[in-house]
Amino acid sequence: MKSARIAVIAGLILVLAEAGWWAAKNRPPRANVQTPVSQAPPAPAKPVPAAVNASASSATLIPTAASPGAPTVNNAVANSGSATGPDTEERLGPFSLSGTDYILVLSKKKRPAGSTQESGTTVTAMEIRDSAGTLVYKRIFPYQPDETEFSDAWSVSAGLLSGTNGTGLLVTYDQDSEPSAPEPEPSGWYQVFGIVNGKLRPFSGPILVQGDILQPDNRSKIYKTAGPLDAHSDALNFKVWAHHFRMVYPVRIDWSQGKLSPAPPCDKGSDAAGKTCRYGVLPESDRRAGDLTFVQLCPEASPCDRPERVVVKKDSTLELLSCVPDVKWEEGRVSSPAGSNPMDDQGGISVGTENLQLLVRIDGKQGWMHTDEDFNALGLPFEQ
Amino acid sequence: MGKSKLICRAALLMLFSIPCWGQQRVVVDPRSTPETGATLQSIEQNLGPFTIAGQSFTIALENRRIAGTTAGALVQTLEKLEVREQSGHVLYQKTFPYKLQGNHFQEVITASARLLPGDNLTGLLITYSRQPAAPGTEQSWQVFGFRDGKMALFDPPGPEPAMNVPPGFAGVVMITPNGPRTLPTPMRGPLDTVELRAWTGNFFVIVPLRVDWRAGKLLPGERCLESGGGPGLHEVGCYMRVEAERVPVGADLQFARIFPTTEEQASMSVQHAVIPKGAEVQLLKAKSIATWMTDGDLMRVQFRDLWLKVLVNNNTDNEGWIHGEQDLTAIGLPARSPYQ
Repeated sequence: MKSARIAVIAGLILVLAEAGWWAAKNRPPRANVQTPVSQAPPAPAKPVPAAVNASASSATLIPTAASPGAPTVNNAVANSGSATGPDTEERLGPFSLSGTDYILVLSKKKRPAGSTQESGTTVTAMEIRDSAGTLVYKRIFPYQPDETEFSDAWSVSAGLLSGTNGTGLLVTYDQDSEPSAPEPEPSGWYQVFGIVNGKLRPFSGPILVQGDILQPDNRSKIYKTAGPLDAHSDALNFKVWAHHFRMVYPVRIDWSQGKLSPAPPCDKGSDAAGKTCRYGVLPESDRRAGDLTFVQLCPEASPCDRPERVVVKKDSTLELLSCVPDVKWEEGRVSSPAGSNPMDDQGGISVGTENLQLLVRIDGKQGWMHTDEDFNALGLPFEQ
Repeated sequence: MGKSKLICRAALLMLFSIPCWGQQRVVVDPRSTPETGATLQSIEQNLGPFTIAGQSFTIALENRRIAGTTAGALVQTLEKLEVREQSGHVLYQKTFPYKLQGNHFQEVITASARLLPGDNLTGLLITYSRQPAAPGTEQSWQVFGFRDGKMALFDPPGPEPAMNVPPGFAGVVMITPNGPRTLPTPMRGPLDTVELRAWTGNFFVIVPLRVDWRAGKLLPGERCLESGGGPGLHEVGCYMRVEAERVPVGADLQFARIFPTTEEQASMSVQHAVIPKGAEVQLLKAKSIATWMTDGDLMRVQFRDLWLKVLVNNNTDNEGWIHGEQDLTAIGLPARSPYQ
């Protein structure tokens, strides 16, 4: 009896073992599940000049060890945008300044399609971090996934800014809003960062310009200044839309003080009240040349009672020499935006529509033009 | 023999005493020899007779002429004008002082006259011309008609603000977005509209003038008002017919700014027309605010905000309004005396 019991138990054990072996051999293959690369808790945030946008989404920032420039799937984003697809991250850099590397980390989401069915992504946050991963600067951009008519998308780019007396980082911000009317020149923001007292800091608020940075070689990834102004400063030239032509507006970069200011080419020795600042003008390729017309030219920059009427033929030689516009410079705030507007700290370069004076040479005849009527007669571009 | 001699002498006396209607009579007046040494002649001239309401009137002109000079612009001027009845009785007299400058007059005045026919009655229009003259003073006028049974000078039109158009003024036109519209104001007595050919400084325009025969008063022929740009109505220019002769321009090319409307503010759509020498330029119409002024018992008209509509070389791209001295000169209408 006893031996029979032992034999039954042994037999059961054998059967169970064989069953287990058979199950292990024939189970389906396990799925390839991606796991977060690093689960290290976020480093405690250090006090930085840029305040976090209080109304932005509550995304948790997770430093990753992914190679620079490679998008990373982030499954731990704690926001309600799941219907818009997964978030992505892009890294720009590293940019070396005074022996320290800095990278820009861009958080992105899928762009709302809007009525024009746009595609692509929009930046929702930008961070500048040093090589230790320390957050140095941050800017939040709004995201409106439920917008059905308009599609707004933010983009951020960056590059080293190389000057004679210093080197910095130039960050550009662009907002593409569709549908929108065409403009002669697109608008964007430009912000210079540099090392002051050992720390990376912005030199001004983002400067809004309808135009662009003027560069000797647009293909280069390194921005270059236009030359030194003194022992501590370099000039950075902007192309600025002036309602009928594109003018050159120089800005002073003071590397030692960490400051931007205008560097207008004004008459030397004039007092502040009577100073005339004459700016360069870029050649205009978008001119509508008619058969035969005339323009009215004055000998001086100020309007005259009886301007000379000069004929302009379709093949006339036209040179845009310089201009005296009413230009306004605003530095903006160095601290980050505090409200819901991501650019409420902005500065800008803007040109008034009144008192616009343009020096031209037409078939060798030189003089000043003042009126929209003459700008249009010459076939220069205009704003709709 | 004595009797026939008497008859001959009487006949000769009558022959020389009868006035020469429409002819000039030259009398040398040695007393008027000036300090400059020039000798002045008195030239008498009669205009008419003009028949009004069955009565006959003449205009007697007494001119001063510098003797020994050939016909020129400043060698003869009007010194006195008289309106006379058929009996010779002087109803009206006006003198014009003159001043010599070397061998010519500093300023010369001439006068002409014509009947002013209306639907109701007829008057007499005297036109005075002055040269050289400041712009706007080249011409002046007087209108004579029957007033209280007698031939008398009519009151000239007075300046009236646009906001205070008198009742019964039947010549008010309101410019609306849909075009001009005559305001329905009641007529006041028998009014006739006559036309004067007035010099603007660059060309002639035909200006209407209203005649109130009963009151012996003249009124502006037309006033054009517009709303907008402030409370109430404000005066804008009226359209007028143009009479002009363009003078040849020297340069091969001329330039004119052609506007779509008579407003300088619409500068964005101004056409810059290049006008070659010999181009055909049609003068379509003028627009201006005509303001009547008085100079003693003479009346003048001044033109403010003067515009001229033109069509160059039958090209509708070059059809529109021009204004200002530079553009009027470009099309061959420079500022000048109407007597050049």
